[in-house]
Amino acid sequence: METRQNLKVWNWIKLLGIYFVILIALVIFYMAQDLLTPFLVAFILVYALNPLADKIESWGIKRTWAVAMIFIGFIFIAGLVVSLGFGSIKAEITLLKTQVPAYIERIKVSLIENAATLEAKIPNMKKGMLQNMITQKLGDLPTMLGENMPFILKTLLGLVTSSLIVLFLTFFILKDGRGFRKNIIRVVPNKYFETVLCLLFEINKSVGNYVRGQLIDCTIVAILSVIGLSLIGLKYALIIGIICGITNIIPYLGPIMGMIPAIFVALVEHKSGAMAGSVVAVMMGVQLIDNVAVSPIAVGQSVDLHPIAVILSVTIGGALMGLWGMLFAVPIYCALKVTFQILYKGIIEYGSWENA
Amino acid sequence: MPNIAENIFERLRKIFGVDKSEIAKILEKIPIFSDLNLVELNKIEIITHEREYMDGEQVFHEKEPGAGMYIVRSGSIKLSKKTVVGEKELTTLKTGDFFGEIALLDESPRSATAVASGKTKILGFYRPDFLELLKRDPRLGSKVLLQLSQMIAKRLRATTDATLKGATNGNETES
Repeated sequence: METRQNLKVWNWIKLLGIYFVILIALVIFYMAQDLLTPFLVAFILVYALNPLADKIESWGIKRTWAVAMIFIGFIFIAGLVVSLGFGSIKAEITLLKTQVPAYIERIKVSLIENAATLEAKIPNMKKGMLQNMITQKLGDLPTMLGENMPFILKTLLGLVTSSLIVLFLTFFILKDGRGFRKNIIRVVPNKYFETVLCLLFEINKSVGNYVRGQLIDCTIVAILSVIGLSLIGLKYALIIGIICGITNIIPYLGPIMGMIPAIFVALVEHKSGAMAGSVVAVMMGVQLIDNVAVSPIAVGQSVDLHPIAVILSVTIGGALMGLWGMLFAVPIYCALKVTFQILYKGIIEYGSWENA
Repeated sequence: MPNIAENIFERLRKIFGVDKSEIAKILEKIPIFSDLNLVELNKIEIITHEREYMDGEQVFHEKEPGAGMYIVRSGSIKLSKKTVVGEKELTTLKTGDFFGEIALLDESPRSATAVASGKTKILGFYRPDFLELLKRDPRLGSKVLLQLSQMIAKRLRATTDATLKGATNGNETES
């Protein structure tokens, strides 16, 4: 009887210890949010590349070599894409850079015109007050950009370091991930071991399916957007199409966010409502194709999520952690859903996952 | 070519029978791993989990969904089943015995309760890891799967024979 009592106490201590470690990890991550981003990006890459690594391993090649092969291929393709696509992207960026001051000037002029008519309509308003305000606020913008150039350079440098960290993390998680998982799961008490093992496996499967599906979906949306936007002759179609693909990761709200820069360019650069209209039409067409044909195949059956649950989780994620929260709301929701499903099944159908 | 080097090493190690880990030695005596070579045994060893149980601690409970099979490394495991008259002890498993292998195939409920008696070390080989192995290394996975099916086929034949003979005293203990 006494050993049994000891056992119970020991199990409780172990469980509390695990909760404590998880809590500390969460606090550390919360305090060092900069660290979080490369980790999360690395996890996305690992999920995307893991099936490929498994496939190469099934040919009888060791895991380390398989991962190294993937990395060499990845760098080769990235180099090819950069050398082929870099020219046109660079041209679009330089064009954008030279055009930005002109845009600001144009916006300022139209704002001042509107302010003048507004002032004329409102009585008791000092003449030129609004206009002065606008010139003051907007006049500083180009100089501000110039002054901040060192800061922008520093951010770029940070980007280079973090992408190196991401590559490093991806390599090692891809290579040793299985060992990490085994070591983490080792501390789980015997009583919960089978449940936790199955749970981790299911979560891994469902989150992996979601991430891979979304990545494929986004790539197709980006390609379709670039094609559609260049067909209607929008300037910077390449950059804007890629932005649309990236924002498409966020369900429901992403496509609208992606539409904003396209409409902005249509209105400011082309100065035509018709262009803005056709941009909206193209984007809606892309979304239609995506929702009818691409998304059901790429993401579809892998995860069964109700739209209301998705919107709710995206909004909550956005409120808690901003853009990153929106990105990771759905995978986290997926994991929670699987957890509850398995625990529910254990409790209701078998009534005894905790039957000591 | 790392593979050729690995093969030569494997042959040498097999000939001299060196550096076989304790776990690999236990694994090669289990029927479902019986025709694996040392490299393959090492691959299985990587995906097994070493667990330690205290006296009286439960490994799994009857009617719980099963997640995998267990191999006794040291100590002993008592299998028992609830009957109308009360708890009936089926058998005691010692070092090298295994139990729960049907759970590698599906999530069917366990047919008996397993409890450690004395300080017991067991080796767990679980269904999720097995399914992943089948995907990652189909050759090795199907070798294990074939052995598992042969074992179950043999057992089914025995059960069928027993039923045909009308023998009612043969009791199956597998969970």
